[in-house]
Parts: sequence; C-alpha cells; structure tokens
Amino acid sequence: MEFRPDPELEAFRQTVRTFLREKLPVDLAHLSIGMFSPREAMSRWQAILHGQGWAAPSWPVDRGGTGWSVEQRLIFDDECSAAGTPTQDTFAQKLLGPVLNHFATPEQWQEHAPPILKGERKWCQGFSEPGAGSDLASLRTKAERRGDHYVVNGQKIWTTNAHRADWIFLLVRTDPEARKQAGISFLLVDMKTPGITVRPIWGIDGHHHLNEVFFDEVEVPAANLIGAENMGWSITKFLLNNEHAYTADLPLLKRYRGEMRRLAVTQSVGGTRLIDRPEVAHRIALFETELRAVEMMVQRTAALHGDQGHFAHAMGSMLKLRGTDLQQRMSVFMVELLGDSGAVADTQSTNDLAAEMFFRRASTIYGGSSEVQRGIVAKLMFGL
Amino acid sequence: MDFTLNTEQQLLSDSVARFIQTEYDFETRAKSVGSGDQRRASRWDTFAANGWLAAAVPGDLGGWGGTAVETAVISQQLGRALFAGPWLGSAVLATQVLIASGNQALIREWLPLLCDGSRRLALAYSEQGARGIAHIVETRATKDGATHRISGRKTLVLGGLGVDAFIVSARSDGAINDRNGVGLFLVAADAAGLSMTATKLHDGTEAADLAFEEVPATVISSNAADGLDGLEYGLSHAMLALCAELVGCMERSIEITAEYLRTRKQFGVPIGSFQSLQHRMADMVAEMELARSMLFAALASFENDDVATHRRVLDGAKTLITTAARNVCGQGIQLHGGIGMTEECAIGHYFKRAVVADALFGSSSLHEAACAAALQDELRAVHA
Repeated sequence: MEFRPDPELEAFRQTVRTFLREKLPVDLAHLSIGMFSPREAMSRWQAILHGQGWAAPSWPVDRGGTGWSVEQRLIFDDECSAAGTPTQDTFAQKLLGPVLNHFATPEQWQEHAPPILKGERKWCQGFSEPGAGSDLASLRTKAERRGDHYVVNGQKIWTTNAHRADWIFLLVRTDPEARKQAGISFLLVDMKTPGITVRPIWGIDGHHHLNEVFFDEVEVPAANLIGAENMGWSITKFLLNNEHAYTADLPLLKRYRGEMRRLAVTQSVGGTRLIDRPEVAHRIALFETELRAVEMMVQRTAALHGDQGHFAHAMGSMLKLRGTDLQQRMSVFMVELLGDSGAVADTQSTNDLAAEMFFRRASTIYGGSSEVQRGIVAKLMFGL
Repeated sequence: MDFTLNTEQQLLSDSVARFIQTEYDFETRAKSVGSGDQRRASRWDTFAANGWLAAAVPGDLGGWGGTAVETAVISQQLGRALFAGPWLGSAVLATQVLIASGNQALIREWLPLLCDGSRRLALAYSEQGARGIAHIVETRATKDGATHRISGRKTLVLGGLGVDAFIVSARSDGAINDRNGVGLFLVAADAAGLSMTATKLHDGTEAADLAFEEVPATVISSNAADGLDGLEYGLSHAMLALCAELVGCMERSIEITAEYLRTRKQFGVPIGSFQSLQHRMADMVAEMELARSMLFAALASFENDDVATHRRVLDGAKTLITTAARNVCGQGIQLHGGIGMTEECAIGHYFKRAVVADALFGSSSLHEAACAAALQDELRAVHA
C-alpha cells in the first residue's frame, strides 16, 4: 500500500488538459450542469474526439477505441467535466459498444460501430417496460421470426432520449414458452422503421427526457439480432456488469461542488456573502469531505482486478448507493442556496438547478434502484 | 497508488493478526480490562520483539523506516481486537511527537529505548479547556536557570499509567489560544510536584490526568516556544492511526453482526433472511467502505500534500470516520437486539470505542468547524 501519485497518470492528465484547452470550442463549453447535452453539441464534440483518435475512451484499440485503463478514463472524464465539454453518447459508448465489440458479427460491427465513433448516429436503450422495472426479465415485448425478419410488438417505457435517437437496442421476448430469462433476445432497431411511435413523458423536472415507445408490427431484419436467438439475457448481464467505477457519477458530483462554491461567493444575504455564514460553510465543507471519500472509493474500485469480480461488483453497488445519495443531498442544498429564487420555476434557464435537483430523484431509481443495490450488497458481501 | 499491501506490509499485518488470535481474544481482553492492569496484559515485549514499536520510525534513527501507512496497518488489526494497551498513546503519539520535536540529542537518546520496549513515554497535551486542540494551552513553563518549571493540569493522557516520562506541552509565552509560545518538555514520571490520577475510559482503556506544580522539565522542542509544529505533526500521525483503528473496529463489528444474523433464529428462520436487516447491513458496509476510502485519502494527503492541505483532509477524515464508526457499531447493537446491550456481548464494546475515539484529539464537530474555516479562507482568498 502506497499513495504516491503515478507520474505517468499525471502526464496523461496534462495531455488531456492541453487537448481540451486547444480543441474544445468555446460555444460547446458549459452548456449544462446535468447529464443532457444538446444533440448537435454532442455530435460536434464527438467528431472532434474522433479527429483526435479519442472517439471511444472505453473501447479497445483494435475496435477504434483508445485502450485506456480505467484510471486513465477517470482522469479523462474528470478533465472533460472540469472543462464543461458536452457528454458523449453514453448508451452507445458504454452499453451498446461493449456488446458490439464482444458479440457482433464483423458485418454488424461495420454497420454500427463507425457511426458511433464519428458521432453520426445516436442510440437509446429499450429495456424497461410497464411490467418490467426492477424485475427486468419479466419483459413482454415480443419478436416473432417471419422469414428473414422479426416482427416486434409491445411497449417500452422510461426510454431516455428516444425522441432524439436514431436507433434503439431492444430486449425482446423470442420464446414465450421458455423460463423468463431464457427466452430473451437482443435486437437493434432503426427508429425510423414504420410502426414505431414515440410518446413523450414529461418529468417532474419540467423537461422531456423520457418516453414511451410503442411497437406495432415493426419489421426488423433478422440480421439485426446480436448473438444467438434467446441469449439476450447473458448479453444484458455482460452489459450491466461492466462499469463498477462509474456508478457514482463522480464528474457530476464535482460539477455540483463547483456550483456550490460559485453560489457561496456570488449570493448574499443581508449584505453578507453566503460563504461568510457559518452554517453554509459548514455544510459545503461536509459535502466536500464526503466527495473526497467517494473519489477515493472510485479509485479503489477502478484498481480492482478481474479475480476480485465479486468485490468489484459489490463496490459498484455501494458506490451507486453512496454516490446517488450524495447527488440528491448536494442538489437539494444547491437549491437551498438560491434563497427565494429556489422556489421559482424557470425551466427556460440554461442553469436550472431546481430542474437538475428534481431530475436527481431518478438517480436512486434508474440503473438498479437503491433497494436493488442493497440486496446485491447483502448477497455478495454476507451471503444473506 | 497501490491499495494492496506489499509483502512487508502483509507480513506486518499477519504478525499482528497472529498475536491477536493467539494471545488477545475477546475473553483475554475482558479479563485484562477488568483487572486494571493492562500493561502486563498488553505484552509490550511482544510489540517490541515483532518490531511494531519501530515500524514507523525513520531508518536513520534505528527504526524500520516505515510511514504512517505502516502505523495504519498495525492499528487496523489492533482495532479489530479492540486492543486496550498503550499502542496509540505511547507507540504512535508520543514516539511521533518526539521524532518531530527537533531535539536531536534527546531523540537519539530515547528512540532506541522506545523501540526496544525498555522505556515508554506518553504525551500530555490536552486540557479541560482545550478539548484536544493542540494550540490551546494554559499550562505554563517558566525558565529556572538551565531548566524549566511547569505548572498546570493535563487531561486524557493516553497510555499514561506506568510510563517512564511524559512529553508535556506548556506555554512559555502568549495567551491561552495563541499559536505562538507553546513548547514541548520532557518530565520524569517521578518528578517532584507531579501528581497523577488514573482515569478509566468507557471502552476500558486507561488514561491519566496530571497536575503539575513547579515541576522540573527539560525542553525538547528547539526552544521553549517552538513546539507546536512537532506536536501537531505527531497528532496528525496519531489521528491517522485512530482512523485506521476505527476502520478495523467497523470491519469486525460488521463480521460479528453478519454472523449473528446467520445464526439467530426468530419466526423459525435466521433473522438474516429479513430484507430490512439485509438492507441495514448493506448500508453499514457501504459506510465502512466509504470510511476506509477516506482513510486512504488522508494517508495519501499526509504523504503528498503540504501541511495546511493534509491537515484539512485529516480534519475531514476524523469527522467522517468517527461518525461512520458510531453509526456502524451502533447499528451493530440494534441488529443484535437485547443481547447487544449486555456487557458480555462484544458488539457494544466496539460502539464504546467509537464513542471514546470521537472525544480523542478533538471531537467531530470541532474538526468540522476547522474544515469549514479552511474552506472560508480558501474562497475568500480567491474571491476577495
């Protein structure tokens, strides 16, 4: 055990910083504190990354990625967050990408991976259904094989960015007779295919990120099936078991810290700046301490090796529990720091902290709710 | 950074674990605490023979050349067993303050004797009105020819019973909370004018209150008013040790509780089959892993950062980790039910240690306030 910083990683950080200083256009920086960047900004930024050879930080080199270590990727994310870059297409990069790289045929890979790398095609994820939330395997959207097509019927829900996406990766039931995990397949679908209807779901944050997606006799080429028919569940477990060091969303927490500090020196009450009020300084200092601990917990998780898979999985769940709880408490306090303005609805603002705070109620629900995470931790750590 | 123990650290950790397994189980501990003589039960000769007393002493002073990391490795193991001897007070706190004191002649005279276990020191620095804050010193040192004389009272002298001498902080100049004017002095345990009262802490460990009336003393800081830096350095090292000890306490509390949940039956089933208890366990282990991460962050900062920065991180660590320890060990009692309230059940003793730990070296709220003040200074300097 030793805690000296790694000089190679420090040099890497400088490389990233220099790139961002030189290549991030001013009009793309700091567009949003949250996770949703405008589509056009995402595309432009992805093209710039592609030009640098950094199109896919989490993919291996022979698949057009950077081949970076988890530690390097955390540094890249950290610097991008500090510079306020647009986000990349998380669904394509971190969820679909590893599936393509691992399970797709060469033809499938050639069709789908390059547009992701170049920023030309956006993806959304069609997993959840009205009757299949935490119990994902009870999904009912079905795909019937007819000749060289599948015909898809059913409904997905909570589909983030379906209205802005070009394609969707779907879990569908291909064998209604099989045990519920056994009859599921993984299908790629063009959102322009006839029979797909996207209906907006307006969130409590006053914004439209989520959708219902309906499939009515949608014909999908059988060539868009990833892996074998009925092996969709093992692909899903592979995809969900990939990113233990990222569950806390550390870059987001760091942006919150920056925002709190900004509010503390720009807002005042009775002529006294907030930072000079002890109760404010006290709360922010506590948040920053907790953030420092979360950051080290992320680094510990990133450093775990393959043979520590069980513990890495448990650490990922613990990080999600603690990280999302911290997201909620910090975002609530940011709104508190706004004073009277904190009560005013202003969904047109580009820095709408209240909307961000309302949206964060979802953090402990999506990606495996906190209750699901606790169950995982109790099982993995104690066999309970 | 490397979060795994290297070969030497693993051997060190294993040797302490072996000592606990063979010579310091919970019953042995209970007897030694009850007998009121922990010095014999603490097996100081074993500590010396295994090199633990020299583990974090610089190589050029006859030690093993380890750092606070080695102290933490030993402390964590001792924390698992609730070791009640003078490890923290003598082997860490007094030794590290002596090393940082500046008086090379005295360091070279005493250190070999401390490392081989033939002599023992304790640090008398806190006072009733100081609450563990090093620069608040009312005890006075006045010059008397070639020597000094000390008058005043000291509280909570850890490991103070049966030592050969005390290191004492005393003020030769300035007001009670002035950062200048505090010196470090060596006082023989049998010096005229020194009276000692043994105190027993909640967790069964022993400490001493000291009263000084014109007690002859030798200055060991570079001068009689220049001891605060060395004192605070030694305290930082000891705070890291205490934090590591608490991580060990939490580990063991959680193990004991998990075992209880697997064996205790109610309603015809092990109580660990109840989801409410599983989820509580998940929260406890997540809080412990966050606390362990904070310990690592503090060790890293102690190694890499300037004094002001590492002190701020350490303030945060003391707060976060003692809070976590009280939560986790307290929940351990809750999950045990009635049996957890009994003297003969181990879990309650872990909670007691966590409570005592919070009072040592300044309570959580004092360290929180220090973090907040440091944040205010930082932001005021940047945004004047």
